[in-house]
Amino acid sequence: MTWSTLADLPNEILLLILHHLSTDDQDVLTVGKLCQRLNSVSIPYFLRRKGFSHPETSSILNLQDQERYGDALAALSLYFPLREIKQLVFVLDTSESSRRNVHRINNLVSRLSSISSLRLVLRSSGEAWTLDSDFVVDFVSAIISLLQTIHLKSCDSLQIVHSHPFSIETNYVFQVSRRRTPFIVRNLAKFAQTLRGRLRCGKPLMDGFQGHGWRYRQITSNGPAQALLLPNLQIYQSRLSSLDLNTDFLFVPPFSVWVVELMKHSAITSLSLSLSRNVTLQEFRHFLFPEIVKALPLLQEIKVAFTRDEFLTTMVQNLRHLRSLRKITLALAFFGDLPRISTSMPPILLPNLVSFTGSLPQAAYLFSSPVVCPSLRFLNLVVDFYFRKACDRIAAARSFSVIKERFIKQDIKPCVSICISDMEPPSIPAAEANWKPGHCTILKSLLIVSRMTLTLPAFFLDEAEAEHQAAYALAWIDAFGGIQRLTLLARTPVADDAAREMRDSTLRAAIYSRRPDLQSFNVVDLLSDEYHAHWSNFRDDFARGLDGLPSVTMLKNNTASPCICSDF
Amino acid sequence: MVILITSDNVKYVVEKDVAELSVLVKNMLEDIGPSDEPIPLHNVTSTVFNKVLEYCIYHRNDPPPSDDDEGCASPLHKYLASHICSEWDQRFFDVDQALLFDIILAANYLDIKTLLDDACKAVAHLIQGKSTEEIRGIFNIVNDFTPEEEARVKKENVSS
Repeated sequence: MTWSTLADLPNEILLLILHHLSTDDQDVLTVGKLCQRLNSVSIPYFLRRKGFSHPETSSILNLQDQERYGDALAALSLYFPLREIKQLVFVLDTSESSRRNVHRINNLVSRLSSISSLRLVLRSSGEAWTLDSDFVVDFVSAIISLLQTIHLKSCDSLQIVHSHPFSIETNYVFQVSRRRTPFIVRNLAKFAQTLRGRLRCGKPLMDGFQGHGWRYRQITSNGPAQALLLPNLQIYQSRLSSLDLNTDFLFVPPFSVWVVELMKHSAITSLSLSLSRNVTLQEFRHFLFPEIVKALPLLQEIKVAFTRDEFLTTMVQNLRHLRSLRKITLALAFFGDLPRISTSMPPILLPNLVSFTGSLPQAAYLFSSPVVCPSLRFLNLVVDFYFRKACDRIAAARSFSVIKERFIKQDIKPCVSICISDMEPPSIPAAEANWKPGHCTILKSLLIVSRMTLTLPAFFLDEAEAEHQAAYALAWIDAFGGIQRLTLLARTPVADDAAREMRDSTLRAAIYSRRPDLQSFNVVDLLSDEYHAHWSNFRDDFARGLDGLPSVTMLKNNTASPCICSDF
Repeated sequence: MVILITSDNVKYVVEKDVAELSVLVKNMLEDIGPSDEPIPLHNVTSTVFNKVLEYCIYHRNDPPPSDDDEGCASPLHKYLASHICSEWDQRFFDVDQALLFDIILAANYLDIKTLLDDACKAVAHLIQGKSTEEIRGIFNIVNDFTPEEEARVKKENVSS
């Protein structure tokens, strides 16, 4: 038998030839571009060599390392037998090559027949973005067209993280319109705008997006952004059920309006929003949140991160429209104070709400509202010194008493857990000698906390380190009084297993002597490159975006060891 | 001496050490024990076997290939191994492609690792640094991509 072409050779021999080509990745890719058969042998070979053994299940490409992953992206695009991918994760920077890569990702996704989950994490670098720049406009339009492709594919889950600062043009203002703008004025304004748009570029691309009771001034009156076209989404209902957005520009009009459209034409049940400082309180209250709530009546899970606690007021006011909600997670805010709940607020019925995770003031605020949540089973509180410095025990106890009161009113007994990081030990009882009589009752509400994770601070690193740690843990245990399950997180390095065992037994003895009825107790050692955080208290948006991913960057992984708060 | 018969019934009398460069022949000899029975090589024609024999005679005194060089070889070693062939080898593999592929298949069948490796290297050498069109021309490969796939290939060529 005569074998006339390369493509006729058996697989094992083709692989051997590819092996001899491996000194240059491009040659292997070139073989994949010759014909169907060589494609089906050389591309999987190439992907395996790059560490992608199961591209159909999950591929994580850190395109900041262009040399290694750029070719892998090409290979995924060229691997024609690959029609479905479950999970695709891309980590990019905000450089010129990343813009091209967004186009390439779009090419890959549009070639596939289905993709279950896409995560796009753009790492911040360089100056703040502005739509006055051609580059930014190109980048944004590349992302928008990728979003459109995702919308058309049967993608279930989408995440875009772009924590890059974005500066808004000075002439951008969000305004609440006066309710009764005379009809003739409104029409004149509209006419003027249309005319202006026509004169400049044929038709008005970025018109004012005037809505009901709110309007925007043009984000840019001229400049490159004029060229941006937002695709029409109305023709298709997507399968998107989980959306995680952490992007400055997507929350700026006209993109925010388009994103709400995208939500309307999908079946999102899980939403995660990380809002930038560009979204003003007024805009969130009058436009963004009410529109999102209207677009997503089936929402079951919501995660929101905002920099000021005042945003929560708007959220709570709108919760009544989200009857299917099962899970609420809030990120800890750096600034702001929550006002008192108005007494005239009508009841908020959340019959399916099972868990709430957030800071103590956030929880107290929610439960001071007339919320009705008979199914609530978990209240998870995150206390982190990084976000708010002060920890006043009386104020904390007051918050707990508000929460407890709501629980008693509804006759529910959810499991209350708390995760405490980097916190000074609570004030010792002696300092509380001059309490007023009412304080004792309030302090009893601290008893509702039954589970606690406590990060142990480093003390003097001497032989008595374990004793100091035990004293610290006991101070917290005493402060709450009702702890039944406890995880201690130790960051102080121990010399060896024997030293670890000794430390653990010291801690165990001290804690069980105070609380012999403790139901569970464990100590987790944080490695030097591990930290412990939840969605609520990630130090930055980028870390929050990478939550749950194996390490793709220099970023440290969250600890995987089981803690009381593992399911926060 | 070992007697080998190719698929087109040509008889070869070969010295044992040369014949045993083929692991297939070596195993057969071990299986049948001392005997004058000719060994049939079903999948190899005399045209191809002439070349194989030429290679085996030239390389009869080479040290046997070690199996563990894959793991510890540095990239430089790999590079040198894949790029540097002796002048004799280069001339040896300077044949038409059909014969080159037949040598590869014969080496695979006869289980002659060094020949298989060197022949694959020779093929790799023909591919290295060339464009898709050039390679298609050299190996007479028919582009059977669908128009859609072809468009993807073109797009990838542009963007990479």
